[in-house]
Amino acid sequence: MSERGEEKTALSDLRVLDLVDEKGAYCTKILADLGADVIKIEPPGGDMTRDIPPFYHDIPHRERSLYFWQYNSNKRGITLALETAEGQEIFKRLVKTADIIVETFRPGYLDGLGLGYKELSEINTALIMTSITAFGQTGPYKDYKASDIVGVAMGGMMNTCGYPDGPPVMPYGRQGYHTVANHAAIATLIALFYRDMEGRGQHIDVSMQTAIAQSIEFANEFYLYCQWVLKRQGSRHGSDGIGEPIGNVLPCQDGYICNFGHVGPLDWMEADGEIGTLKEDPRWFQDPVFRRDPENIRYLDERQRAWAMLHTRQEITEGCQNMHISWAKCSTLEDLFEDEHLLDRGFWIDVEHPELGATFKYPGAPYMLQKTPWRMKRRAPLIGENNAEIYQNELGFTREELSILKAAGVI
Amino acid sequence: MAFENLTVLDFTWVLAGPGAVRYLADHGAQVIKVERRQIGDIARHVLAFPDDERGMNRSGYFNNINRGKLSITLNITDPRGVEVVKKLARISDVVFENFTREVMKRHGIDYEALKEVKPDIIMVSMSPAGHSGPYEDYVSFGPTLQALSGITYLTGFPDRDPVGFGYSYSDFTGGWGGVIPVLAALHHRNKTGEGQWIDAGQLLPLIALMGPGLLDYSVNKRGATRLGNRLPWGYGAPHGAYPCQGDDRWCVISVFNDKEWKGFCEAIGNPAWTIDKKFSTAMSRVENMDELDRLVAEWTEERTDQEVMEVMQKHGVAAGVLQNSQDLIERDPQMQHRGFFVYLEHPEMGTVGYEGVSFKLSETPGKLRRAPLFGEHNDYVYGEILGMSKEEIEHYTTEGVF
Repeated sequence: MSERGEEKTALSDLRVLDLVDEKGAYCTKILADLGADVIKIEPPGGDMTRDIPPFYHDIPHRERSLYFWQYNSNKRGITLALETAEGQEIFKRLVKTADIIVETFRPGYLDGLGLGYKELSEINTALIMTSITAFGQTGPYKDYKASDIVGVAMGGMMNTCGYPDGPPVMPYGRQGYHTVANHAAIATLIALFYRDMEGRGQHIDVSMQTAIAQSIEFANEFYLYCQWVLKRQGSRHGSDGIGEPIGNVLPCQDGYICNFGHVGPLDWMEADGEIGTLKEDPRWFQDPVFRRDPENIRYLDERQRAWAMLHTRQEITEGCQNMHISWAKCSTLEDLFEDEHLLDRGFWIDVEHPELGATFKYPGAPYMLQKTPWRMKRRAPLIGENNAEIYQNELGFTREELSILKAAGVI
Repeated sequence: MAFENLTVLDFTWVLAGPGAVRYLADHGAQVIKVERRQIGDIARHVLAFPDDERGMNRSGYFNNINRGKLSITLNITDPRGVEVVKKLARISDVVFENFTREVMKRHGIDYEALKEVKPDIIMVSMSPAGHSGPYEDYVSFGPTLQALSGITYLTGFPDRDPVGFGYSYSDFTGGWGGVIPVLAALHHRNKTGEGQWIDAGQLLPLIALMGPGLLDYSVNKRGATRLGNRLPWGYGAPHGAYPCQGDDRWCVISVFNDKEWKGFCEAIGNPAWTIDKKFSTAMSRVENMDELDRLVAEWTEERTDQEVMEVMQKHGVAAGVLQNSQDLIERDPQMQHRGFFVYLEHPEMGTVGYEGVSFKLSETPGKLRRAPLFGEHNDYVYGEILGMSKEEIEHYTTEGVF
């Protein structure tokens, strides 16, 4: 059913209770962006992820964390102390109205409050509860703490990132958290499909470590099938142990480009006088042993590097793509805001912050669903912004009762 | 299993598409994987062959990603092949494809055509950059999209060229960006009976994961730079990978607040330097990060990665061994406990390993089934499912349609 006056969305009939930290923030955002009513439940005073930088105008403030803004847009927000008896009763009332809970507490914490899956599923048999932890609900490391860098190290992602003569490097942008959040969303939607069919909910145990270990391309396969341990080898794509220069980052006139394909844009290199033997010697095309010889790899790399320095990153990107060669520029983050493709696709979306009298560009739709579009409805909630909406209008508390609950530290 | 009654028609190849479909196959969907005659999915030809013996049915790479799918061969450039595609679409719920933009259209099997034969079909197109815009015809592999997304430029150390990933991370982010809207669209179909087309080009889902640096630029006009293993905005110190005893062994450690710092100091036995006021506050630790990193490394170098992790964790500090796949598969007790790696019989390779299902659903945990041999299910799919006779199948095979 479409909401009144709005485009219909795929998950518009669902309510999600959000009890997540950094591991789960993007999971519930995915559900919110697809139309679910996600209610972020924060402790009175606000969630600790509101303290994560960067901040609006660099002034640390719990309402101005850009981290919080980005990952909590499209969600509503209420405050509730789950550790209090009254808070637990209120939470159970909310659970009756919910379809999905996503939580990132340490294993056993909600059980200790009487709010574990077992208790809650008795209130609501169709409830899906997605529990995200660093290492899983059980096992020797279940109580280990993990940040993003610990996740990407323990899950095997970082092992193949970095130059061989330098330290391993963490991928930019907290990809460990993103990997587990995407997996948690997929798992939740699988459970939703089963619920659509059978009417029953279930409990999901999501581990950041295994989510990452399933997302490292060939590293596990090389060991499982060939007993070969992959190591970091620079920007080169590790699919080839011996290391033909594919996926290499090469400096160009105004930045960097990334190559792919064993030889290169030959006619163009020839026109620029940087072709060397690449065209005349058929072994570059026909003889894998020749191509993998370290001397020849070095030769090819030198030719490509010399050639790349003759052009700008934009020239190389357009020129190669016109020839259907998969080479492209290394965009900077600033480039993305002017990227003609992103602008044409309407990727950047204006989000209004009425309390600041300002509007900012946010990243928009990653995918386009023809009938039930991704949508951006609101900025992240202020602390307890929707308390009245939910506690008064929906659960029927009076304003006086809310004041008492607030004074008692329950909301 | 969750998808016991779901049929997926899968035209995808290499990694992003097949990886997306893997989530459905692991949970019981009947996945009909359409492979090119004679050549098949090129993932069959690239890497991880046991005993270095190549063969279409011997790639560990193909095997791990395509487990639980049915393999058929089909020539979609033949009009009779196109008719077969339509028959298959009629019995399918979802169609996945990750070709460049024109391919499905050129063969007359794009969404508009398949909707004619199956009105509630859900179809996802996972082209490199989507079906509109200046990059609509771009060709790419993982590293190409990673470069375009900004993640390559920003991954690495400030004093060296960007290094990016050593593998195609964007095939995974693109896979999630394909399967998530499909699952949402299935829910919508379950509610309303309505199918739809999804344009899930692989570039945008990765850009959506570039993190709060995006807002830092749009709001504060601050660009981003490479910072190695440190986080921007003075967040966390120590925060990095520290060398340990042994050959190329490392342990990562991250400390964000005073409580964790206290735990860290206790873990390393409270040496005198830890009470220096250079390290007394979160801010001073960030300001003196170079010196702090050096001191931490002096301590870790004397110990094994495992020892460092254990003593840090004992004191409430997030720390972990930098693990390679041998560590994941053979040493890590948590991975063992979770039973992540699964071993199944394969007709040509004997017992071989697979990555398991990463998450555990209590009611419908999913189940791994071995990967298909090339064209293994032609008889089953064409005969049993589509009801073609033996003669017809043989005829189409000799004629180069199957």
